[in-house]
Amino acid sequence: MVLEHDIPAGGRLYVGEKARLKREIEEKSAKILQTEGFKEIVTPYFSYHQGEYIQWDKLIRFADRENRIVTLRGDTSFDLLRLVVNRLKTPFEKWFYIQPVFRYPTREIYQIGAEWLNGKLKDVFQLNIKILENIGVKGTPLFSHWKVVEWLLQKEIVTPKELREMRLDKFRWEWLRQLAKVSQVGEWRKIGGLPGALKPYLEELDQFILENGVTDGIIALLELPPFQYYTGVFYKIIGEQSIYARGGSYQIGEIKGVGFAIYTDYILEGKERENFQSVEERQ
Amino acid sequence: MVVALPKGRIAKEVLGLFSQIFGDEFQFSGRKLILEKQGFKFLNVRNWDVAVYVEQGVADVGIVGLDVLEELKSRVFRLWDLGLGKCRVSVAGQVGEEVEQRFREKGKLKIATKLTHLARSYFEEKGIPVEVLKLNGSIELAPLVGLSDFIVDIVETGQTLQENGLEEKDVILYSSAHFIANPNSFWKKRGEIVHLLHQLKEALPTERRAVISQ
Repeated sequence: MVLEHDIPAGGRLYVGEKARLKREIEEKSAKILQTEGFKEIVTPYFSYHQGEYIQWDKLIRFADRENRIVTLRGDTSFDLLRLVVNRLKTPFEKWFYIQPVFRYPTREIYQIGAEWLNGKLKDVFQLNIKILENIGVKGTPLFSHWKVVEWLLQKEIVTPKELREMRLDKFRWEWLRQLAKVSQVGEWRKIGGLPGALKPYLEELDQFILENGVTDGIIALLELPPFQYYTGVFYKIIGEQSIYARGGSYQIGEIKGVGFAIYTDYILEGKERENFQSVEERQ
Repeated sequence: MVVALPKGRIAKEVLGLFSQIFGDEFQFSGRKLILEKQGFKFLNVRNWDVAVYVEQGVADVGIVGLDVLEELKSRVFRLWDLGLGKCRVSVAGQVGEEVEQRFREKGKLKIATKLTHLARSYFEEKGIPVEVLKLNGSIELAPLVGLSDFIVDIVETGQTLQENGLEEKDVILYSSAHFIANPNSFWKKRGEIVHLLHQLKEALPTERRAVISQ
């Protein structure tokens, strides 16, 4: 039975101060992105192509008039790029969006994101940090490299399930367990027996962190990327209990780019927790 | 670091391990649910809730049975199988009654269980249509009084089944206690978490230890 006040699980309802805060976060972010030369885009809620990069069972599906499968967008990046390159046919390369994505069965996720075709990850990472600082969010950056995970999977050194569950007890190699523990730049150099094939990627990751002057970041070499289209270094910025933002370099078809998404809902939850804690401390 | 510890079936063994690690009696006094010791905060939660506390990031790590993790499809890191509290999740029914035969007779089976997801996916894989009845205890009673055709339940020794004229028909899952971590906590507090894991393994009886690097 559905009651008068019910909303589907995963639905978002922001009222009063929280809705105002959400608007403020979005406005501040938009202002910074516009100042940095990004142009706003609003993409359709409906898409034919989401299943190419997201598992079908995670998407909300139905049919169009010709009985073709349509989904609610589960991710903005690849629809945005596809539309910019194939439909708008514009050479403009810096885009941002402020809109929700949807996941099966009834999850709504508000995002603020930026995509930079042919851009450099360093630039969008700095921009991501700048926005978070501006909206008063402090998280811990966590860095990974898709090629490290890809190589381990291709060589069948570890299975996706073992990585997803971080089954240290199933890792057959001592160097692999050590790799799971690497958290700082250069630590991997001390690992005995580390396959040489991984070294260029580890060096690239270290260099990215050093170039960006990150001192409070951590490395997570066995982190699975959230999307299939990531190609190299990717990162997430984590709070006490949730993820505030994700970003990385990617290739979708022939299109190469870099981008990030900020998770507005988790930032609002984080701020609510902070307020709760500071009230408790005052008492 | 916040550690969620289970009440119930595996609690005694788990608390025993922590007593060894911390060198004195490890007890939640009276009805207390939080225990602070040597920089750790321990939460005393129901076995079924350990995974929820860890998944939500309220606890960094915890110890919980694989049966619970599989039933809840918890998105946590299952760092290590501690080998404690071993049990099976099994299909059971009255002695001499076979699942396939009963299915051919009835066309659809009634299954009583607390583990509804595991039961449903097991019978789906077998291509047997079932009506799953969620019970919260004394699952063995259901087939004896005609509430269900079979049950899916946790079996340790099989004695309860035997005493009630029931027997195991098939094993769905072999379960034991796993040391789990919230993914964000794992990445942020790896040193401490791996150290605690190492201490737990050291405290395990020798035959259950495996190699872990510090």
